[in-house]
Order: sequence, then C-alpha cells, then structure tokens
Amino acid sequence: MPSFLFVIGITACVCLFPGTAFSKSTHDNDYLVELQQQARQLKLHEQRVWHLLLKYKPRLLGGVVSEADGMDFFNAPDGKTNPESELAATLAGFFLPADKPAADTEHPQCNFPARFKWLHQQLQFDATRLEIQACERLERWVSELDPVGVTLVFATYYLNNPASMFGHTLVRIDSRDRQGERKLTNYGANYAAIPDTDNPFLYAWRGLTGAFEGRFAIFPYYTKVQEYNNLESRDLWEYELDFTEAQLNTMLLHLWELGGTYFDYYYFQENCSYHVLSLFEIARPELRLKDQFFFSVIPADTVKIVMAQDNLVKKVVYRPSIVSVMNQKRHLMTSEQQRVFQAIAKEKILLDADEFTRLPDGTKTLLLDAYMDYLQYQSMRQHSDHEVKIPYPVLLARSRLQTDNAAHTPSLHFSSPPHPGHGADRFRIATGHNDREPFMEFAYRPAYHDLMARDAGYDKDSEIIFMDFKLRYFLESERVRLDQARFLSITALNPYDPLLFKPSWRFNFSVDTLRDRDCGYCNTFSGSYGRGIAYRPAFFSPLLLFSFLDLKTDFSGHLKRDYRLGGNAEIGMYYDFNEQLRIKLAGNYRVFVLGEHKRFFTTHAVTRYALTQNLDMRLEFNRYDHNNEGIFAVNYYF
Amino acid sequence: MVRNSLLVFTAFLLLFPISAFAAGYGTAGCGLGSIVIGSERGPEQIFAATTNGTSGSQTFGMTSGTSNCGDHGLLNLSKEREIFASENYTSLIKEMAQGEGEHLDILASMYQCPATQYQEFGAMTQEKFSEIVTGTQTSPDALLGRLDTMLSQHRNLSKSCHIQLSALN
Repeated sequence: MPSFLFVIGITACVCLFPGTAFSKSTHDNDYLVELQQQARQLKLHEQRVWHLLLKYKPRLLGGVVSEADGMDFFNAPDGKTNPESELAATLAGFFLPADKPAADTEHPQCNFPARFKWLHQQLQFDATRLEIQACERLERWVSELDPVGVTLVFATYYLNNPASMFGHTLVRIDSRDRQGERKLTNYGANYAAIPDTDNPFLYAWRGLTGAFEGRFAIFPYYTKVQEYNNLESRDLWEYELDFTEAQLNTMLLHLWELGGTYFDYYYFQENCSYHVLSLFEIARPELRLKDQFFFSVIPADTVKIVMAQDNLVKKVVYRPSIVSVMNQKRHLMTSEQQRVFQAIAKEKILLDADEFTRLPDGTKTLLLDAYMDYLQYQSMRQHSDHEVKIPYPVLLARSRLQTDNAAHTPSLHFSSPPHPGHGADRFRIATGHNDREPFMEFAYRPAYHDLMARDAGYDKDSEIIFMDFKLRYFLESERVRLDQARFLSITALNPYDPLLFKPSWRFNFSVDTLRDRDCGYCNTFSGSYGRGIAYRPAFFSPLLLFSFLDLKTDFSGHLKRDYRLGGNAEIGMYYDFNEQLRIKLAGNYRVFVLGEHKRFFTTHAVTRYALTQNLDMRLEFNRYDHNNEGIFAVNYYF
Repeated sequence: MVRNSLLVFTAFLLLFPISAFAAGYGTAGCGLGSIVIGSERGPEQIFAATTNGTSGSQTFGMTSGTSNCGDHGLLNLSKEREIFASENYTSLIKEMAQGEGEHLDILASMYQCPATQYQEFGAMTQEKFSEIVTGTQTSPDALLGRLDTMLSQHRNLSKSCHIQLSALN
C-alpha cells in the first residue's frame, strides 16, 4: 500500500495506546516545549525539506517568504515569512485536543500530514505523550489514489496556434489498480489560475501581476484528455517518472496540504509548470529542478529538466490528438482512397454511393474510422452537449463491419516531444560582407523558435521571435549600428489540407534597417501583417512551399514624408535534406504606394546546418533592391 | 519577467480582438457537470493557448468535496460508470461501432469484466450496436441502461461481469 507508512503510523499508535485520554495539558505542554527545543537544536527550520514543505523562497533583501498566499496554510501568524516560528506553531498545532477543531475543519495533524510525517521522522514523536489523530478523510483519499507512479503530462501546441508552442504541463497520479488499459481513469492534478474575467486585457494584466488565485485541483485524467486531445486537438506526451512508493506518499500528503490553499498566479513564474516541479522536489528533495529558472518557467523547459535527471523518466508515451489519429489513418490511404475519403467527409458522396460500397471491407473500415474521427473533431469544435454528432447511419454502417484488429493503428507521431528541442534563448554571432565593407554581428533573443532552426520539439510550421536584438559592427567605417530589433514576430504556416483548411498568417513588429537604400544603415520602425498559403506535398514531405501577401509599413525620418505604406508579395520554399540540413529560398516584390513610393525586389537564400541540439550554423545571402550581403552565422541556444 | 510582460503586452496591443480566453470549456469530474465549450478557436486566438484555465477541477484537502463527489474530493465509485460514459460519450459510441477501443476496455473494467473478456465485451457492443445506441439523441444514462440489459442477456458476459453497482462497493 502506498499509504502504508502513513496509515500504519496512525493505526499502530491508535491501537497501541487507546487510552490517550489520560494525557493532561501540563504534560502536553512539557512535551511540546521539549520538541520545540529539540527542533531548534537540530535547526529543522533551516532544512531544505521544511522550506519545500512551506514553499519558502529567498527574498531579494534577505529572509524568506512563502509562495502560498492562503493564510490557512500557516499555523503561525508570521508563518509566511518566519520558518522558525511556523515550525514551533506547527508542533503546537499537533497537540490540539481531538475535539478542539471547529466544525468542518480538520485537526492540524490531518491538515498538514506531510509536515507531520517529516517532523515525526526527524523528532520521533512519542505517541504516549502526543495524541496521534485518526484522519479519516485523508486516509480514504490516500488509499483511493493509492499511487504507484506519477506521470508528467505535456500538452503540445494547437493546430495553427504558434503561442501554444509554450505548452502546458500537468501531473497524472498513477494508481495501483488503474494501470495498463485503465490508465485514462487515473486522477490528474493540475495547478491553474481561476480567472475572474473574460476581458483579454484584464486577463493578461492580472495574469502578469499575480492577481488571479492559482489553485491545485484534481480530476479524472480522461476529462483532461478529452479537453486537450479531442476538444483542442493537442497531442499529449506522457513522461512516466520513477519514484518509490514512500516518495509518492510524501508527494500526495503534500498535495493534500496544497489543495486547501491558493497562490497568486503569475503567468510566467509561478505557473503550472513551476508548481508541478515543486511536487517532484518534495518527493525527492535532492532533486533541484526549480533552481534553474530565474525569469520564467516555460513548460517545455521543465520537461527538459526532468528528462535531464538521472533515472527519473521511465518511459515516454505519445497520446495523439483526434486530428493526429485521423491523419495516421489518412497516411495509410492510397491517393484513390484519399479522394473517396475526402468526398465522403465533404458530403459529396453518401455511404451508399457505388464508389464506397464497392470497396473491400478493410478499406471501408479504414475510411469510416477516419471519417468518424473527423466528425468527432468537428463536433468537438461546435457546441455539443452530450450529443453525438456522428450521424447514426455512419455509426450503423461501421458497426456492421468486422473489426480489423490493429490493422490501422500505426504509431506515427504528428508532433515531436518537447525534450529534444533547442533552448528558448538564442545567442548569435556572425560575420558578413555587404557591397561596401565587412561586418560582425551579435544578437540575442530570449524566445522562442524560428523556422530555420531545428524543429524537433517545436511546431515545425510555426515561428515566434520575441525581442531579438541584433547589432552590427562595420569594420571599415568603424560603426556600431542597431541592425534589427524584432519585438515580436509570429508566423503560422498552415500547409494546405483540403479537409481542414486554414490560412497561413504572419505579422512582424520591429525596428529594422532601410536595406534598400544607401542611407548609412539608417533605421526604421517597421510593421507588417500578411496572409498566405502553404503547401506540403505529403504529411512528412521535406518540401514546404509558401506564399504571402502582406501589408507593410515603415516609419523613418530618412523617408520622404517620413513613412511609406504598401504591399509585399512573397513566394518561397523550405527543404529539409536531412535533420541537420535545411534550406530556404524566397523572393519578395515590394510596392510602396503611400508616403515614399518605391518598388523593388528582395531575394533570400539561407542554409542551416545543425551541429547539435543547441548549436547550428547558417549561411545567408540577401539582396534588397540593389544591395547585397552575405553572412555566416553561428547560433547557440540555451 | 520584463521580457515576458513585454511579450504579452505588445502582443495584446497588436492582436486583439482575442476572445474566448479562459472560456469554461471544462467538465466537472464529479457532479456530471455539463460540458461548456467555449466559442470556436480562430486562427489568431493565440493566447488562449497558454492560459491554464481551470476545468474539471475538484477541491480537496482542507475543504470537503463538492456534490456527487466523496467528501475527499474524488469520484464516488457508484457514479464511476455514469461519469465516465458522460465525459467520453462520443468516443465510447464511436468505439462501440468499431467494436474495440481504449474507452470500451475501461468501461468493461468498470463492469468488473476480466481483462480476457474485454475483446468479447467490445465485440458484443458492436454486434448489438443498434440495440444499445438507438439514435444520436440517446443520453449516457439511457446508453448504460441498454448496455446493462444487453450484458445481462449475454451468455458469457452476464456471468463474468458485474452489472449491478452494488457489487462494486
């Protein structure tokens, strides 16, 4: 039993010493003082475990402060900032007579079982002098969950949603009798904000300033799978972790303590992934997972940290989304079958059409199964309240076809797990030459992924570049110029899919150099927004073609009338020779019709060779109107 | 912090309108809460992605559980099947038509069928599909009711599986 240690501790004491009623308050007090002294001598309040239990973290100006914000979490009035008095008060709480707690509240021993367990280990409570309480609700909770494992679950990106590349993590508690094919029925634990507004501006503001309450919650894992896999169509990656049952018991007792409190939710620091890591640390205090994060905790990075620990991850399991499941089947179809399938999905032909009925049963099964996935995906996207949107005739037709076991359940991955991805920060150093002189280039950006980088671990068709600052030092004119500052640039390429059509789009907001002019590398504020199409011949084809039409504007004192506004048409391609080598070729035609008028071509050729997960080299040739430049760059990710 | 605040803030200035934020599209594990699905996610609702709205959550720990849950915040075993069928309704019906699947195996396990009979359980739901699922407007409760009937009429499964919930507790 996982709850073994805990339950045995309690029952043994209760059974052995049924007559605890004899204890007198003075004796209690003596023993309490004794324990508090002992704790002080051992300096228990300075130990890492105590700080993990109370969520203490160092303050900038010395001292500590607990991340927990619900005051019920503490026993001492100054417990939020004072580990020592909190420890003394916690011990005192344990001496509260069994009949003392008010209605609907639990005894401190039952409210803080993880602290009780640890302090008991450190101080060896004498059960004749400290009445050990029976915690009925807690015991039922622990024995119902009965964990033999814990799994870190990472939800990948949405289709067509670059920002979701940041991902989301939650924890699955793997119970003893919910193994194997019953894994979906396990409980999940999630830390999430409880938003009180639908207004996006307020939402962002409150998320950043910690104005939302964040709480731990527990739910059947299958509800989350429905939500992520089916409703949002995000693949899940499950990292099954290796903890002993004793460690899991501690984690669970700690989770119980957390369940009763709340935290101010900080979108970037104290977010879902941060608190998930703290659960692992409490189970194995020697793990130092949170220490590596200073500014922000990106969910994918937490997976990398967990993956980097020795012997922590036992197994990685892929749980494809409904769209991925459908695409796995589509991938198996011949082009003729694809055509029939699309005709059915688009309701151009019915299931009694000759084109379908003449197919062999195996093919019909494949097509119908894919069709039902498609309908399920569509119905999830509409408001559908327990109503099956798969038409009854389709279900009936499928039920008359004998099951073709495992014939169409390939395990093709339509997303990649986050752990082999490159780091989010990037430092770049480059050397190049333009028509006049050689230059050196230094650049840094904190986030996140560009389309020329290795795409393992990322959505391979999306790009988010944030705060990418690039300086150039020109060797002959001995000048340092801000070459480019991309504040935010997002590209979502959505390869054309006749079934699930979505346009590609991109936008960019930056300070750039007016590269088509000879104005001494003068700068401009630049913004653009565009829509386009992309095309990939097959799901796993190395070729991706794209084309965009953008609205583009520049604001600069070096332009006549200080601005120009116009359009940009681009056509280009990406091609992967292998995992290391990728090229991009692209050409643009720009027409500025307002402000300063100008028409010109730009062309780009970029080659990337990835040396390791976090290091790549690039060779670039760019031509802007009549100005050329060539650059050799090395990018390091961390 | 600074970089992140700026990221979100600039993005918000540029990218509104963005709707359906933490739309309560979740489901309650206990209480058979109805599924409330937020409005369709458009291509540029990029920030909904990284928000972690609550859903399907249950309180536990110091506060006692909500209705239909045990007071420990976990599901009452007697409601296990209903809740599972309700939350995975479309998946279940699809798998019944297919005669196999992960959800179907779990449902079989909730009837305490031995693992060796999951396949037979699946095959039965496929064979009797039109009797178990009588139309698309059927409800999870009605579905389970008809499934109970079919199970009790089945030669093998009626013996090896437990149709009555009382057998569970």
